Amino acid sequence: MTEHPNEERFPAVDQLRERLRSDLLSAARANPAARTRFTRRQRLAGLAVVALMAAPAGLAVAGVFSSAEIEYECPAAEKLHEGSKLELGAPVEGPGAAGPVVEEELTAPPENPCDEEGSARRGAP
Amino acid sequence: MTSMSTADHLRRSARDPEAFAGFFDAYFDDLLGYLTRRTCDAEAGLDLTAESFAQAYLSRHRFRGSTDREAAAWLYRIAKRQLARYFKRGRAEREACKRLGLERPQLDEESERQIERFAALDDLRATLRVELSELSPAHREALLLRVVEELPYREVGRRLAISEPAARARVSRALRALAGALDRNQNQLVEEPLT
Repeated sequence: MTEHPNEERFPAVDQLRERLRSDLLSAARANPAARTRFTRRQRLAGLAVVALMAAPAGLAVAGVFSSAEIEYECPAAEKLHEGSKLELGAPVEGPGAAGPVVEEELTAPPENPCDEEGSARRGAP
Repeated sequence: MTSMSTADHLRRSARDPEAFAGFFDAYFDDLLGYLTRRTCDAEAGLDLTAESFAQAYLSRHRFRGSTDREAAAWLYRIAKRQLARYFKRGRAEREACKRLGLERPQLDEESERQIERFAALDDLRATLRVELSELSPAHREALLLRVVEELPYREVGRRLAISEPAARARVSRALRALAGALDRNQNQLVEEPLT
């Protein structure tokens, strides 16, 4: 607070302090659990959170996400070859059918004409 | 026996309301002086002090600090909010006082004079005379009548041909506009927790 060089006393201020403290403590004793109400901003924030949580659930309940008029897949796509004799995979007979497996005979590897030249360039005998 | 800090008093008051007295005694004088200077009005200063402490009492569970500095900053934040509302509406709110059933003590003339001397309003008035040139003519006149000539609001309104609430609002806006000058004159002890 402001400094008072002559240490001036203010009995009225002392009395007000005593009186207000006494009244405040009496009120406190009478209302020991008294607290502030939520502020307007806190109430609005609470409402916003509730609305944010409740909105998707409310829309789902209202059936917005499951409208009978909206087809999310083409039903004809699944039925395109229904009833035909087509089967998935390679044909069992005819062109394109898998033939018998023939094993190759083991033979000596072919000579590599570059081998000798390459060795000479590296100074090999 | 170890002495409790004001922060301790405030925290403890959440379970023991009597402990609030230690917090109240530590800051009453500073807060009364601060709010009286900011409003240039002993009655408004006392109203705002009572409301700020009532708010602090009702919100004491929310204090999370541990030092005296934090306790002071917490209280002054409440007081500044009350002050802003006072400047906006031209009168002090009494919501928390009403909730607690708390009546502000009546002020007689001598008590008002003492609060004004306590808050060193005379020095402040001298400063304001210099700063008045910054204001618009309407606000300057209202502030001169109220703060420098110390006329009651009813008389200020009569002289300016406006209603009493309008006179209060005009003086409040003028004081808010001069907040910089008023703050420069605040004691460091008061302003420290707010920085």
